[in-house]
Amino acid sequence: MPPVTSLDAAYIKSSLSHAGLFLSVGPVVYQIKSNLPIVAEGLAKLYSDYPLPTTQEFSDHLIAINRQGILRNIVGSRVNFSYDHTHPFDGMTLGQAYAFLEWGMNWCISVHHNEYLKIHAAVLAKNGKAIVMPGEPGAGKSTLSAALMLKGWRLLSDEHALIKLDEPKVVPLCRPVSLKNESIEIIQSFDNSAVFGPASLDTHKGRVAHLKADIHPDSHDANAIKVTRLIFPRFVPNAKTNLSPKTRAESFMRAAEQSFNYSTLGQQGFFSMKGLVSACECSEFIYSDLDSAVALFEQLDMVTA
Amino acid sequence: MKDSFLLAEVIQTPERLSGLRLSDWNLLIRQARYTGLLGKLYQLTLGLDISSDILEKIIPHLLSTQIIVNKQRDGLHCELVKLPPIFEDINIPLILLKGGAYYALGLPFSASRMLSDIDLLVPKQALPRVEAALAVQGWQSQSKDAYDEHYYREWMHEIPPLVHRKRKSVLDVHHTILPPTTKYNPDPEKIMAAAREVSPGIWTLCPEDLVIHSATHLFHDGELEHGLRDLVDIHELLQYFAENEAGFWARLVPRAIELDLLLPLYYGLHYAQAILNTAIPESVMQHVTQGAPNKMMRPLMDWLFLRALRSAHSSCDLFGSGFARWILYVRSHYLRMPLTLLIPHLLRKAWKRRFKDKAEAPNEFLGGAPTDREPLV
Amino acid sequence: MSADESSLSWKRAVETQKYWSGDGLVVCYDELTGDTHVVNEFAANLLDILSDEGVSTDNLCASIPNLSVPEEQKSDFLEYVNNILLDLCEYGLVEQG
Repeated sequence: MPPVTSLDAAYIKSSLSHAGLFLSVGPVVYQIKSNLPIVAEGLAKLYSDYPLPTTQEFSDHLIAINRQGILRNIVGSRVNFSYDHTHPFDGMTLGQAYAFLEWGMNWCISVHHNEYLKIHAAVLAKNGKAIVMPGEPGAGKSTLSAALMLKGWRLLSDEHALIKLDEPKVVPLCRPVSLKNESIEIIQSFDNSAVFGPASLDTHKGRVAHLKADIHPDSHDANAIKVTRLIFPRFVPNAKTNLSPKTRAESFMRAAEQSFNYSTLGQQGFFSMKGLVSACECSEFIYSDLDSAVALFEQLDMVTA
Repeated sequence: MKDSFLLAEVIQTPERLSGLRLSDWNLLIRQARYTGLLGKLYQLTLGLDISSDILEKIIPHLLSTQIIVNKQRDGLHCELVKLPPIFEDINIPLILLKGGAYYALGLPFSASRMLSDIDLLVPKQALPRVEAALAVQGWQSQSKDAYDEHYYREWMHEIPPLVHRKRKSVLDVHHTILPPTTKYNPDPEKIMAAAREVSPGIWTLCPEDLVIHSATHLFHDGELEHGLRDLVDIHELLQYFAENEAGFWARLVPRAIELDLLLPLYYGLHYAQAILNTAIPESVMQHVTQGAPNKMMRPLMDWLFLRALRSAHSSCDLFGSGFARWILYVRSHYLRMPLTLLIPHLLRKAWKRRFKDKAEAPNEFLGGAPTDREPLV
Repeated sequence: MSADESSLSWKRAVETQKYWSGDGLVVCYDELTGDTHVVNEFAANLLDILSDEGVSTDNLCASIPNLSVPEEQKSDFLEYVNNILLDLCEYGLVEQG
């Protein structure tokens, strides 16, 4: 059998229905099983350029997304997500299956991996330096990250900033950007070369679709990158786009509030957050449209002041 | 995959870990995760020679769990600073059970053992005073509804769990180690009389009672999903006290007889030996077997328990494991509640689990303040 | 400040780790409970000066180096300090006794 050199659609489909598709995302290896065509289709569209893991003897997260119940061929039947042999969630409808997979993959990171300080944030990089953007409600971080990514910034993550415990560096975890409702159209018109996976309708967030995010040549470089900026974005309609300084103390607390495991890490969490915040220029970022936002980011000096 | 109880094998013989391949570790980590023994696995790897290729893959999982355990231990430490003055004020000894006791005693195996609630034992007549003193310091009852409140107070041996309103730690205050409705009635006063003060204001059960309680909890009280983890506790306690407590073996079985808990101790020793190869003197096994079920019952009980005690992970399942666990769950409830109350109660618990306890479909961000999120293994 | 208030005795309740982040603010980590607070630099200085032995508000202020408060502002200042101590008490960082 010829060696597999890329994740093409046939390989993906076949793996999903047998031993599982082994997917290497930054430091994490997922092993995904599914009998759903929409899952195979979505993965083929969004993950075809991902590297093959070095081994198939070990995976960090064994997940499956399958039709549940005995009557598997009934239209409108439900699908369920399993983590190894458990079902952490109630089922969803077939139309939401692809979103369910991506959310489930996020969940795997959110509840494990305490070997990092994890912050709910987007992470983007340029010239080997990273910006961490905590995702407070109303931030619009996904739409902003999608636009920056399409304009040449390297996306390290849309959802989880994995900060090393002993130094202010972030570990890449590049996966598709999750966009909802009108953000989907906004990004499509922002850049019509944007590649989207299958849309999931009627989710509790409305319409959700995922944007291929590994277009930067360094997307799959696994090395950790120094963080130099902590930026708290906020979308405010009609406001003048601007960046203003934020105290390190307030940035510390707001980043801690957006952290999955600051509290779990105890004293180590305090020291790691201190290390991160003191290494960064901290700012509040107000924006009302993507073009002016992207332009401002282009002007950013990425080296710490 | 079937019949491959790797986890039990490495607990018996930790040196085997050095020779495992990556694919073995893949299985082992999954088995350990589902039985709550990832911390134990981490502890077993310390000091062993494992290749760096393998360590690189497995360490994140083991370390991540140890971090959670460390946080739990910090939390327990905090409560062991805050609780003694409260109990001193009302002149009731603060007697710790289970995980809290193992921590307070500094037992080595407790360094990687997952903790949950803090279990205390107090005299029944002191309960109102204890509840009142704790309430003043911010401890609030967390019963889900009036039915739960009734269940806890009337039929269980606990008041509903108390949660600290700021720190969110959970206290389970017991007045006996088995519910008063069972046919076993170990005298709580005897148990409390033998308690030892291990540091100022902090008491634990004596070594024999810690073992007997652990066996009783597993074989009559608990839900067997974490059966192997609880059996590992028994194994560790026996090994530790065998080495560090003079006269422990001589006192163990007579104490169980005195407390009328010989049968659970028999199960504890028998299955620790069978599944984990715990070293138990032959004379002790002979003595405790006097409390074994009659000869005809033993194969059946072995069939049930040996299956149910394996990890809840399907790679360890023998045929009938799920059924065995269900039978034993019903049995433990039967031992606990009169039949007339048992069936409505079981139905209600099943209903609540199905409709209330499962998380909703994941948000992109699992909402709530970070401190509200339950850390998982 | 009343005579009662000025005779209150304060001491450190827990050990804290501090991040003097600049901008007049300090992030404090309570080593016992794991709670994290932000206080101003003056309050953080008070925490550093306090020990396991009780000290009155008056004596506490007297031991702050380079602190000279004009006589006419002294009672307002003592009240300000007392309020800070009460807040720190609320956070569990100091206690009376």
